[in-house]
Amino acid sequence: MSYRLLHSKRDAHEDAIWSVAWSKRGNRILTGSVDDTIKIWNGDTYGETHLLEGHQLGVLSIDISPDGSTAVSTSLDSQIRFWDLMHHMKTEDRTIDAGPVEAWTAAYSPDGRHVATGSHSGNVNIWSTEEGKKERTFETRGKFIMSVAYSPNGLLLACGAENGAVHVFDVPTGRLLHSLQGHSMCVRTMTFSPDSNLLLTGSDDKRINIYDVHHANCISNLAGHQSWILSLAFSPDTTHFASGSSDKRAKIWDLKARQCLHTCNDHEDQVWGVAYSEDGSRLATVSEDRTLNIYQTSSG
Amino acid sequence: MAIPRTASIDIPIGEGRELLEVSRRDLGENEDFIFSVLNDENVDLWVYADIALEYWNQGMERQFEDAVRSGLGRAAKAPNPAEKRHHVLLLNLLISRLIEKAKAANEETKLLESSMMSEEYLNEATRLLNDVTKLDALDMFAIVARGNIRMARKEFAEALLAFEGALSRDRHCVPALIGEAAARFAMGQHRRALDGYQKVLRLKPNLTPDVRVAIGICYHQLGAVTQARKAFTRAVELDPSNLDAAMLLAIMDWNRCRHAEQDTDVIADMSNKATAILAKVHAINSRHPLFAAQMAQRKLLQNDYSAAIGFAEGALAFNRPPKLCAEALCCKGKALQAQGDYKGAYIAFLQSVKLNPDSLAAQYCLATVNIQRGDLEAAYDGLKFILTKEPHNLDVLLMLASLYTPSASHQEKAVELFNVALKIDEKKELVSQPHVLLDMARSLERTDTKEAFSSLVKALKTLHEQQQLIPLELLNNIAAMCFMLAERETHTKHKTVEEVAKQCQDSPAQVEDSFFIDESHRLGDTLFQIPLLESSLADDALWCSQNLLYVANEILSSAIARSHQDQYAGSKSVEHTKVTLLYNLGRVREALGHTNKAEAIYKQLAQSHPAYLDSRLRLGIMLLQRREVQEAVEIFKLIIDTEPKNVEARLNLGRAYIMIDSKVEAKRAFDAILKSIDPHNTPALVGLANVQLSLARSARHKEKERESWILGTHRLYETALNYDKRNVPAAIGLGIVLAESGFVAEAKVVFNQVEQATGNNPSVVLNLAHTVLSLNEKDAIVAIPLYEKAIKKGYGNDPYVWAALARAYYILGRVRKDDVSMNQALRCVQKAIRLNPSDAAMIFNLAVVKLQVAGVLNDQSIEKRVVKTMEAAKDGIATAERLLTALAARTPESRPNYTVEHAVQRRDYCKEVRKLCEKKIHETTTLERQREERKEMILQQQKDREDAKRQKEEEEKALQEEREAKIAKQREEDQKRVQANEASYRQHEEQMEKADEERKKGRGRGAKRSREVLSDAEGDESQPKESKRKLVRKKSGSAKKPANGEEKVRERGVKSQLSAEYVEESDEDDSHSKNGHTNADGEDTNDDGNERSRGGDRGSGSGEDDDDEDNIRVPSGKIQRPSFDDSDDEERDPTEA
Repeated sequence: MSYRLLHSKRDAHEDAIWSVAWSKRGNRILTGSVDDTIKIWNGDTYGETHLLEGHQLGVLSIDISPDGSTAVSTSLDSQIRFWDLMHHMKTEDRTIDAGPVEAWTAAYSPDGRHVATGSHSGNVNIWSTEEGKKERTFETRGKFIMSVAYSPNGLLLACGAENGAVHVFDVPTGRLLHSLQGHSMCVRTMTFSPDSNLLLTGSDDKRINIYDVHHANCISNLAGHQSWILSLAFSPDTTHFASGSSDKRAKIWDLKARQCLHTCNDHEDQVWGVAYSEDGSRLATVSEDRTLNIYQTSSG
Repeated sequence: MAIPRTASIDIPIGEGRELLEVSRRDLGENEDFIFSVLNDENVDLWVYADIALEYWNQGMERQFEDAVRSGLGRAAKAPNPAEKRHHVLLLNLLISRLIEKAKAANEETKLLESSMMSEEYLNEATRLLNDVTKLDALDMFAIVARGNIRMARKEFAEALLAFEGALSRDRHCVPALIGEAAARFAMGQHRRALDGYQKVLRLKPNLTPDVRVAIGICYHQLGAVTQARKAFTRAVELDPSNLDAAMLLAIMDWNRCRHAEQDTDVIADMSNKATAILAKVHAINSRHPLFAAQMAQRKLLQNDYSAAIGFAEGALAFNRPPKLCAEALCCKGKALQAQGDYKGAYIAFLQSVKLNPDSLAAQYCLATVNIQRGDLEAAYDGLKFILTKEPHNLDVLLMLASLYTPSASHQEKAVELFNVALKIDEKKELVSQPHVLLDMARSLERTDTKEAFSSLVKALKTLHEQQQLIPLELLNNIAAMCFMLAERETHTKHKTVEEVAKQCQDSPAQVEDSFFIDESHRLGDTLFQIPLLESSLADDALWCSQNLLYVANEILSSAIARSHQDQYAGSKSVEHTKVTLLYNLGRVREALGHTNKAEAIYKQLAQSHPAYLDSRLRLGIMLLQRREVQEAVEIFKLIIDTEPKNVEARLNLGRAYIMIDSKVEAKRAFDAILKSIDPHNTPALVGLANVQLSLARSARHKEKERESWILGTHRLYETALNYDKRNVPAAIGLGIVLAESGFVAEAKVVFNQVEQATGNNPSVVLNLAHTVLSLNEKDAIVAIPLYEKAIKKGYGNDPYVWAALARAYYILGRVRKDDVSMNQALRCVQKAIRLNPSDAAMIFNLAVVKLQVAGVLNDQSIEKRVVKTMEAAKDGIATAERLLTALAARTPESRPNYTVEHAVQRRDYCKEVRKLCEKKIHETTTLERQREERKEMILQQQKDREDAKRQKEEEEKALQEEREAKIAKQREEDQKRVQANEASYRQHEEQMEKADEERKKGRGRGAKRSREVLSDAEGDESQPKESKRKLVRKKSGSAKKPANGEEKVRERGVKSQLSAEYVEESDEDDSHSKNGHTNADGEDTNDDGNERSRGGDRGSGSGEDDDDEDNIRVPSGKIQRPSFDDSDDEERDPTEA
């Protein structure tokens, strides 16, 4: 298995790149930056195809709907914006004004009908994508929710808080299923395994925890990064996952062996985002250093 | 001595001279009778002498002496000048006897008494000698005796003088010759002694004791072994009972056996011969000193120490030649040393050195025993003494260097000595010995770690090449050194050592392929680490922290794998070393970021070796880094329970308490160290100072309390700096205290100094930036690069620093009315929020900055403004307004750390800014439109002018052509006329000549005139054109000017309006920079945590390193929090919540 840097786009944005997403369909890479813009990149040639403007402040997170037609983004300007990826334009009418830091990171529900965002008050808000309205709220009565993730089967919603708390909700009933122990520092990123059985969380304590969501126990914790974990992504075949960290490195891990397979040393500043391509053969990483890197991850 | 040797002695008695015949044989039997006669009767002195000598010859020493003494008594009673010769003889006899007795007394035992007796004898002899000199100042024997007394007193130079005096009288005086030779020998003048002895031999070949022995010794001393041997052999031949000669011969044989490179037969033969002689000597006189000394050495070589001591003591029983005694003492000392009796050995060597201070061997032995006794200073002196004699003795050089190595104060000397040794040792044989290399490494440890590291690697390589067992300690030390170097190295290079590792080993050892310590996958005996180490040393590109850690990890893993092999099983300390190795592996893995593995190792160690507290300590520190403070506190408390004097544990306990803001407990922890363990512990001093500083901050409303805390803090930092001038955290702390007490300029000086001294410390840079900015806001341009440096050097993750940078940009942007800076400020605030989104005050700041982007643009002069950016900024106002609205709407219950009222004010202010902005945009747009129009107008005018010009030019051209055509026509006409004239010339030559000439002239003048007119016309035309242009220009200028003036007036109005806003704002800001000093509690403690945890990953195996690292650790280096917001302290301080 070989890992190598396929492409490196320097100064992909004017300033730090904070988020990246790779569409399941249409093979597009979206990057969001503190320069207020979102860029669309061709998933094969890695050329910039479109520039999406509309946010007034830095773009915090991007997620692409499962059908690949729309993208949702959150920004420091407190708006949740939707973008039409078919016509590469903003859809002004659907913009949601969520309030400052009311919508930190956004995650599409697997059916594409909802978007979940974490808020400063410790709530997870579920927004209807069609009506642009808040539909439900999952309350943790806790601290700032820094990360949210839907399980791919749509049944579970997990969120991670500033103080290291991780909560798992049952989506249909809205019940809090588990509060997972293991982190005592900010959980900035989390992702479910494609089979919805495992939850990965990355924290400022430099560790990645693997939880069995059904039994609510921490199976393992992985150390290797020398600073905060900023982003996580599961490979579609469930065998690997990738992590990005403040230590300027991205790492690729083997799930079964629970060990690091490769360390990407190419970024010069913290790695804010990692995203797998649809087939899992490539990994996009974005960093504070304004660079977008594409790695070949496996033969897959 | 002309005494007739008859069978009997005739003693003339009394006045009558009657003869008493005494048989010489019966002297012994008739002793009483004879002495009564001798004492009572008046007998001639020669009789006494004769009788005495007779006694002497018969071996009756006492009677001899008595006879002499009674003779002397008679001489004293009835002095007779005629008998002077005999009187002198008697005196000389007694003197010789006394000297002999003195020597014997000296020799027999070393008791104080006997030496006193010997002294008495000598004194008496001297007295008698004086008598002799009175009688006969020139008596040969007296002079010789004087020399002998000197000899007995070991005053060789004086003795030599006496003997030489005697010889000047009589060149062939044998006793004087012998005396001279002996004196010269004792003074080390072997050749001249030899000459003297040879003279004696020529004069008296049959003298006893045989002078040949002395000659042999001289030869031997001079290195002429064959001659010496010949002399000894001859002596033995002449007198088989000459033990001295026999012994010396035996010793010579034996020495040759030991050193000769002859074939074994010869050696065996020699040793047999020597042994035979020894046996013979033993049979005759088992107490012979030479024999005893020789036997002592033999026994020593045979490791029969007690026998050796016995013989040595036997040799010492005769106190005669100091060198022999010294040697014997040396033997004894060595034997005792070998038996472990260092004290006894020390005494023996000391005596030996006293007896023979020039014997370097004894000095060396003394030094070694001093080392064993632990008296290093004495050993240094001894070895240094040897070095003064033999400056190139490698053994001694290296020994002294190794001795110096462990003591910190002597390490430089050690390095020097090693360098000397390196220079001397050209073959590099000795210096390439592993233990020497190890010592070199140790000596260099402090001064040049990299060099030390390379020495260690060399040692490893040599050991490996010599196929010796590689001590685990060596591997451990190499790894520890790697680790230390890695901690120091800040470079990050892309070339990784893993590739080299792969080249060195077929199956690369994967660092990350095992969760727990898996030793089996590493084969201890493939020493692929050596090339790995060498390449890391050689290649600069590989020399970086990560690679060094990788190498350390490899080495430790393989060392642990080795420790399980059988070859190490026997070694005693292997268990202990294994623990150290494991612990160090833990440290390396921790530094590599494999915290889980490190934790597993520590846990395993804590379980298997509960007394090994270091691993527990690391566990605690790791927990601390993960903010599991309670658990960490438990661990530290446990360690303190087991070992109350554990400073590290207490320090970390204090840090843990600081993290959770338990100031009182933290203070107690640091106090405990200072009060009961070490009052000079700088980390504790600094820690305590930091706690007090935060106490001062929280007491900001009680001025007195705050002041006392501040004073205390200041004192603590100063104390810490007194103990350790290079303590960066203390220096930073001092700067902070100064800044907090209002001495910002002084604080800046402090930070500047520290920054210059350290160069790379982000905390110093940060604080320096703070002071720069708070001293003068106009210096934002200076502060910005400092903040950026701080971010680059390690604060990239710190929202607080980003916020500070944002504030600097904000200030710069406002001062310069520069939207670019303002946008930078915007980006920085956003980054701060991205890192810590829960700080609502930052959101407020974000909104303010966003709003100010528009504000700054509004403020810019109209020429600078661009509608597009203004439109964008106007859109931004909406965002700012939205944010502010939301912030303003938040309930006070949520305890926002900004003031809601301010948010409300700002929100409303947004509208104004927008209005203004719209107005400005309108203005700018109109201006731009005007500009466009004007531009077009100007263009049009220009075009018109150009058209006009072109037209004119065309006209001119036409005119010109016309003129030219005219001229051409005229010329043609003229020509025609001329031709016509010429044709008619001949006919009307005289008649027409005048008239023709007149006409011609007139025409020429006319043409000229018309040309002038033309040129005038041209000039007239061009002048109005120019003036017209000027006019146009003036017009455009005047058209612009009023507009400009209008603009300016308006602008000024606007400006004043705005600046009112600004003043309000900057006032606020000012007030913030003032109270900013005090309002950073909540965040400070957080940051402390960061610092502490940063301070936590440190050090290699040794505690000292930990301390060093601690010193570099950064304290809570915050002076003030950047604040553009107007929130009140109390509301913002989460600690009071």
